[in-house]
Amino acid sequence: MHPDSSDRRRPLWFYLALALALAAAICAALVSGPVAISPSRVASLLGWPVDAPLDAFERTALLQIRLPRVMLALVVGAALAVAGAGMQGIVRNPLADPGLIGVSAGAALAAAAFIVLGVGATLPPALTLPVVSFAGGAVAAWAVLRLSLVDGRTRVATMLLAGLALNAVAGAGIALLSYVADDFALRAVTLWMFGSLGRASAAELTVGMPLLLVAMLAIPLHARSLNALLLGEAEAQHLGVDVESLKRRMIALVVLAVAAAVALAGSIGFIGLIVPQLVRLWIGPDHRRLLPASMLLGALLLLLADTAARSLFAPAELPIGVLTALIGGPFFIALLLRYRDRVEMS
Amino acid sequence: MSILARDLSYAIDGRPLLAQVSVRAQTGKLHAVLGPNGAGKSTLLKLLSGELRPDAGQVECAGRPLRAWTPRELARLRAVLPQRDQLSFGFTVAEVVHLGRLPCPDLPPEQERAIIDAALARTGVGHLRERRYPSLSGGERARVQLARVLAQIWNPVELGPRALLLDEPTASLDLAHQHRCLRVAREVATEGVAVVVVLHDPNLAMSYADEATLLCCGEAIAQGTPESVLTPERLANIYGVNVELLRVAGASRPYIAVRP
Repeated sequence: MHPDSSDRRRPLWFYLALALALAAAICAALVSGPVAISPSRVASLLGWPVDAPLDAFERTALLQIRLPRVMLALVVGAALAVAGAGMQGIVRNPLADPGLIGVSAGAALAAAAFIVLGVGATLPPALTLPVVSFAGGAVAAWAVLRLSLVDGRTRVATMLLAGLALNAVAGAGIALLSYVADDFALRAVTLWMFGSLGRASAAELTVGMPLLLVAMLAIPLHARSLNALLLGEAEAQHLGVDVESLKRRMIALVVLAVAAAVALAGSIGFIGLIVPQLVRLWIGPDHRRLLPASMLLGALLLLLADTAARSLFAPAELPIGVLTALIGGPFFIALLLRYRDRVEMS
Repeated sequence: MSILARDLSYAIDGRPLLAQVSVRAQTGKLHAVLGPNGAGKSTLLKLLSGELRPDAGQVECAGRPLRAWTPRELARLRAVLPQRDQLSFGFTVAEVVHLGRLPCPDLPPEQERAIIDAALARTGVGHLRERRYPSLSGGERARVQLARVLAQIWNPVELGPRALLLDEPTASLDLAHQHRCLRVAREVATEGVAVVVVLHDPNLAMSYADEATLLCCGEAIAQGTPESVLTPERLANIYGVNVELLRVAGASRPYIAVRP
């Protein structure tokens, strides 16, 4: 009898622990920053009675800087994690990453081209860079999907190969752009690629957050079909799933989520890969539990990472993408070593 | 649900895999498809299931062309067990069988559980219920997959006759489970299911099938009762081995012995 077979049937504790941790992480994120505001005074925003009410400066710091940033971390983390879980379901491989279909690479190339060459400068300035990178990500993913259509069917192996080629081309393009860029543009490109949750403007958030929320809410609707797909494409078809339409809709949602996340916060690696993997170890591969739990854990991890990124070397801020990769990489290897026999490979 | 295939032809890159094959699988009957490696058995099954589209010919389920059914409608009445097994994610055995219930109308949880348990018991894997699927042996996996397709078409009596297509379900099973598998297929047939099963062992077909189709090089060279199809001359001819029919005391059908 396998030790994990009984406890993972009861994911209630898992959800509860995640929700509690998430609440604690939100408090920690709101409290920490260059201006120290005690937890009880943060809570006064919700009507908690305190002796010393927040002054105008503290209110601004909380409501216009920390709160939007916390929200963005939660939504981006949840969207990246659920997109990763969806992507892994579609290709039936737990080691797949949304980056494989070229979204992040396309977005980065478009952003770099915009910064270095100044193309597309006709849009309103606050929204230009995110719109350009979103478009770059979507076009790249669309190209990969077109390339992987064989006789009207999306062939997963071809898709991954096309994504690989596109990643290489985009990487070369970014290198070339960096080579011709002046110092200022080079630094801007590098910073953009590291990713940050602190740079999105209110206007960007208003446009971007609903896109992320739509993807997040729509992906779990396909949980049962994704479960059937894990049996194999023919098997899922024989279970009454319209496999082609499922794949297309899911990929569109994954592209939407990742392109919007990259546009708002730059490339943030490893969340989409690690979070579903962790959740599967705890509560199994059933997408009806995996997708919501991945959202919770993704939101939690990205919020913790962002709080650490801006607190560790304050007032300097670590690039969030660097931090997630720095922690995520070794953590992932440790996980692989520990559960070598339980991490499913296909 | 009877399945009627007329003059199916299928070619890849101009090389014909199947030419003008017709098959009739009737409700209540077990229809075996036999033939040497590369004869087109799996291709025939994929054409019958709709996984492949024939270049010529037509498949009808319950008198309606296959393409006129929605995937969901078909999945409620017909289950298909493909040959290869691709599931590498850590579902438990019970969860895998539960996946078979996807197209079915929702039942109360206790009824669903009863169906899953009954399907597991029927293929002899009830004791593996909580095991993780990737940790099973090949034969155990095959029996779990069989339980999954049984659960899919378990008991919608009110929906009418059903169909079950099995592609080499005995490939990785031991002797006892090969017979158990065919026994289950027989029972299911008598419950109002048209069963088509691809087999390698002519003796299994001889013992359990009502009808047989013998394929060779993409053509149906004989169809009818197993005894009329699996003659020593034909088997010697297409497999290139010496064959003798033995009468076993107490068995109604002969045993096919291959002389070394």
